[in-house]
Amino acid sequence: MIEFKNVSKQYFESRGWGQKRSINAMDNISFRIKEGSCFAIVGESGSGKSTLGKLLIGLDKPDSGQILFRGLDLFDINNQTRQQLRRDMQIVFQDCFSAVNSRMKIRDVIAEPMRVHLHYSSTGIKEEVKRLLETVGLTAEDGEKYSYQFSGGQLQRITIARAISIHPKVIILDEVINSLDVLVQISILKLLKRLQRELNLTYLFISHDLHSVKLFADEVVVLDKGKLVDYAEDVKDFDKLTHPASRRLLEAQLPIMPQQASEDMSVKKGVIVSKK
Amino acid sequence: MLEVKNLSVFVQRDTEEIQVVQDISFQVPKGKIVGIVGESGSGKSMICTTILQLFRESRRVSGKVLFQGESLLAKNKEEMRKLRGKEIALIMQNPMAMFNPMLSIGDHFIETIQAHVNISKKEAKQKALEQLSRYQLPEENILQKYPHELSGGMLQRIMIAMAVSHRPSLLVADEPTTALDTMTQLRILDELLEYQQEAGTSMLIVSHDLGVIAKLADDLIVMRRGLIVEYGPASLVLEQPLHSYTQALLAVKKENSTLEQLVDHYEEPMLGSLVEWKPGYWVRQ
Repeated sequence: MIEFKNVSKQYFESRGWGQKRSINAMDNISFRIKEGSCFAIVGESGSGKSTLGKLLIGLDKPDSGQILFRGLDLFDINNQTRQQLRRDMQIVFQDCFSAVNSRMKIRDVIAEPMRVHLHYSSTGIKEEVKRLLETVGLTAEDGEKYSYQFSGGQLQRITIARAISIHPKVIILDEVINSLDVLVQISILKLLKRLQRELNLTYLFISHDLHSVKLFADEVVVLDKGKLVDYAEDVKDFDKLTHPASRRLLEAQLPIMPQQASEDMSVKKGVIVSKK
Repeated sequence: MLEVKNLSVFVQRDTEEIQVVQDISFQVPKGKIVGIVGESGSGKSMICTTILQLFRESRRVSGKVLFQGESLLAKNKEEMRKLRGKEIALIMQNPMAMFNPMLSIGDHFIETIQAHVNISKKEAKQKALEQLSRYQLPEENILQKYPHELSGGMLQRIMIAMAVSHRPSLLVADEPTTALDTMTQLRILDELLEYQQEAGTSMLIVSHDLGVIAKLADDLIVMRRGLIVEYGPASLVLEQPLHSYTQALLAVKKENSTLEQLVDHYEEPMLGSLVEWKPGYWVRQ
C-alpha cells in the first residue's frame, strides 16, 4: 500500500557565522507497508522516526527517492490528487494538548477536517460529530466542552475521532500513548485496534517503547541515525534481532519482575483476595 | 530521615474543598529509595510539593511531615528556603519548563550554588564545571549554552547535576524520566542510582511507570485517588501484589501478554482500610 523507495532527507543545523552542519535524518530508506497491517517504527530519539511520518503526510519533501501510495508518487502528482491523498492519510501526535486548538469547542475541532474535505450539510456534520464522539467512547455533551476540560487520555480520543472523521486509509500514530497513564494507554490501544477492524485502517505506529509495540503492532523496523538497520516480519521475533541498535532498545526496557513468584506464594495470594 | 504521618492535603476548587491526599503515612529511611506509583490525579505530586512546602498558601495540610526529626510544616518561609536545594532537592518532570530560556546553563548553575554557599562567581563556576564533569556532560562550553540548544535528556541530566550539587540528604524526584525516550531514561536512572549509592542519599521517586520504580525502589507505595492501595518492600509488592489495582497495573507490564487480555480501566471504589498484612507490608482490603 505504501512504499518507501531509497528515501533520503537531510536537515541543516546552523553553527553560527554561516556555518552549517548537515544531519542525515533519513538515509536511503526503503520498505513496504501492507494494507490493513500495523507497521511499527522504533528507534531512539534522533533516529528519524518522526521525519518519516512528516514526509508521509507531506509536511516535508524528501531530498531524493520516492514515496508511493497505491502506486502513486506522493511528490509527483497534481494538486487535486494531492488533496485526495491528504484525506487518505491522517496523523495523531503525542502531545494532544498542543494538537487541539484550545479556543475551539470540541465539536468544532472534530468538524474542521470534514468542513474542509467533505461536502456535508451543517446538520449532517452535527450528526457525524455526535456519532464520532460515541465511537471513541465519549458522549455528545462532550462536544460542547473545551480541550482543557479533558484529561490526556480523553483528549487523545478526541484527536483520534478527528483523524477518522474523513475516512482515511492510513493513520500515522506518532508516539500516541507515551505521555498517558498505564491503564489509559491500554484503553487507547484497544480503541485503535477496534477502529482498525471496523474501518479497515492501516497504521504506522511510531514509538520508542518496545512494550507497546509488541502489544500492538504486526511488523517492525528499527531506525538508527537515519538508517534502517533491522526488520522483524513478526513483532514477536523482536528479541531475536541482532543489530546493536535493536539490542540497545531491548536492554532499555525496564523489567518489573526479577523472578516469577513461587507456587505457594500464589496460594497465599488467593486466600487474601477472597477475604475481601 | 523523612517521616510522613497521617498527611492530608486539601485544595480549594471553586466553592468546595477537595481532599487530594487522604491520611497518608510512610517513611523514607536513611539511604533508601521509596517509590510512589499511581495514575494522574492520585495525589503523588501533591505529596512531593507538600514535603517541599511549595504552594503553601493555596492548600490546607493536616498531619505531620518530619525531616530529620523536625516538623517541616512548622517551619517558616525563610527556614524552608534554606533547606530547599541544600538539604532537600527536587528533580522535576519537565526539564524544558524548569529552565529559564533567557538564562544560560552557567547562570542557572551559579545561582543554585550561590543561593546556599557564600562564594564568588568564579569559584561557583569552577564548582559547576566539576559537577558537570562528574555527570559526563562532555561539551566544555556547556555553561555558555542556553536551554533551547540542548536536548531534553541533556537538560534533565543538568537538572540532576544541579539538584545534587549541595549533596542533599533527601532527593525528591517527581517523574524524572517521563518526558524522555527509553534509552535516555535508562541512562538517567543508572546515573541517579549510582549517585544515590555513592552519596548514601535518601530518595523519594514518583512515577506512573512501574518499570522505573521497580528498577530503583526499595519500598513501594501504590496510590489511587489520594489513598494508599499497597505499601511494602518493592520486591514483595512486585512479585505478588495483593490488591487488584496493583495486579491490573502489573499485568500491563508483563511479557507475552496480549492486548485483549489486559484490563484497560479500573473503576472499583476504594473501600476498606489499610491493614498490616506482614510486618512492614500494608494493603487496603
